[in-house]
Amino acid sequence: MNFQKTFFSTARSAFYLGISLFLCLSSASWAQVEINVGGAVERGTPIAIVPFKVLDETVLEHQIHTIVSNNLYATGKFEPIPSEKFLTFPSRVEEVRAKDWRLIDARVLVFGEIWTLAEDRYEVQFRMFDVARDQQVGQTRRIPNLRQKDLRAAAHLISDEVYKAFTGGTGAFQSRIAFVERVRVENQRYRYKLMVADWDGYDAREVYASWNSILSPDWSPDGKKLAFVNLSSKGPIVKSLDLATGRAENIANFKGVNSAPSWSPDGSKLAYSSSKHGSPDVFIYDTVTREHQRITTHWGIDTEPSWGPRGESLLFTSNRSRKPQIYRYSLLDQSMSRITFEGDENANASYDETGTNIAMVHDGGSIVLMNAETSEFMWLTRAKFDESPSFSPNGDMVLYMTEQGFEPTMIVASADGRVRTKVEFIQGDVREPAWSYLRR
Amino acid sequence: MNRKLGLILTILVSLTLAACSKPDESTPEPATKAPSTQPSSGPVYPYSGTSLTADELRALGIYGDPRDEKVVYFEYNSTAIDRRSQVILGAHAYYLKQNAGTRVSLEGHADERGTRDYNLALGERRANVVSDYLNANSAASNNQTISYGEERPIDTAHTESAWQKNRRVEIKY
Repeated sequence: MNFQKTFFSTARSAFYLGISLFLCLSSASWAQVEINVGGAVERGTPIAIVPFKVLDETVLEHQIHTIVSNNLYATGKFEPIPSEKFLTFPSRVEEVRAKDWRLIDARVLVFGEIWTLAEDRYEVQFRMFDVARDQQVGQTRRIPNLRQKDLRAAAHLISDEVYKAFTGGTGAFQSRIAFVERVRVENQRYRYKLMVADWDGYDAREVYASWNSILSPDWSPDGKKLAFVNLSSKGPIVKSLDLATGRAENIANFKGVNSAPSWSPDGSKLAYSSSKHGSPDVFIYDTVTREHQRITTHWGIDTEPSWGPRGESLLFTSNRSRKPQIYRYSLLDQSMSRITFEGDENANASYDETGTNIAMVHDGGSIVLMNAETSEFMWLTRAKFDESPSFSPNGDMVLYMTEQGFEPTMIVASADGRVRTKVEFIQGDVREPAWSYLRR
Repeated sequence: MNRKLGLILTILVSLTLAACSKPDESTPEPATKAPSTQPSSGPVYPYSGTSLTADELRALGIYGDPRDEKVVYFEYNSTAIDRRSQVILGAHAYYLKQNAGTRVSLEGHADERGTRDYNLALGERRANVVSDYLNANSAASNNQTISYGEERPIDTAHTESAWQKNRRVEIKY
């Protein structure tokens, strides 16, 4: 696409044509699925993200404003205004006329410039602008010394800055996701690949592969390890993969089923389920002492442990009441309580970062968020086959799998239920998405 | 609780079944001793340890020697062994009793509903229940169980009939 050249070399009308062309083309990858699930919810902040001005003839592989726009939209907290509505395209503060933006109801403005410093070396400057106050927000930010391939990372960083400036929270746009991709190799043979990608699915790369099923990946808080389940001829094994070395270590390889690993928030322990004593129970593996501690002893199925936000408790799925429901075990006083009573089945629960909400699979295929205090349910989806919900590290989005026209589809929903976006760069036979913690 | 009771009941039932399935035990029907070909009378597969007639087997969906059936099926989220499975497992147990030392592999599976980790556990449960049943009826205990959860479906459609085929334990020896 020749957008950047059009931008500078031709007349203004051609420029607008270029813009709308660009929008046409980019709307395909915009990947907007559905808005307004819950009904009467307030809008996100209307935001205008101006295409960054490129100060030479360079054609860039990644359009920063598109990435920032998609990012902010997915949170439900922002409502990017399509750029064909823009009356002007400022790149500097002195070019901003607040009136132009009030006319199109923009409350926030983001704009910037890109310089070429040298061969494949760029600098990005960006600014945020509060339309109501008619003033710049914070300083002009410079991100120097970027290669073409770093432009996406720069766009994610800009997204985090905007998110922070206008919500007060920490953005999740520099975090990553893991998932499993199944690739048919021969007629009935499949290769299972554990993949890692940017949060929007870009730059997916294989970190582990097996001829047997891989499931339940879970990030260590420092983002350096992935625990997962790998089936073998003797049964499912819990493994931990060191992403730097590529080495996978067996954590639980006992007789029976070993599955559902979950790192503790401090990264020192790994909870998992194992039937090594006959019936599936929850265990905690201490990576320092290398000891396995049994947590539950019930004859029912106890699986899918997941830690409370400060490591003080574990949620897990148990069928001790006949059907799977969520239970909470306190590591402080060893008390146990059932916490879900709605519907026939609830499974695969996990807390968000603050412990406010619990995401889970409800009645076999809907994704719900339960308020941890009031136990109130909020249906993110009402479906039959949705699964594997995973909170963004800041808790404002939920990643999950659904099926669209028989194709497995990875979706990000805003935790307020307002916006659902297809994870842009993910395709193929994928499953089991898991969101990382924030980069520290 | 229910499940425990169920398990005890299953074992009791299976023991009774085993007790009354000795090949030459008298049956109320005026049966001929001639095996097979006579579809409506007599214990047709005495070598499989069943006293059921071909008609009775057919009513259970078993067409032929119950020991030729290598798969038993389950209800959703259930590990209960139904009548059909009892007959099939009874036939396998009968064989295993006479062929002590046979290594049996039991592969437990679940349908796609429910979470993957839960289904791994459920598949194992099913394989274990089948293993216990075989052991109780054959006094053998040379079974290996493995669970594939929902990872290896027979039929990938999202239909009840596909799910029925997928909720299973495969008996291999």
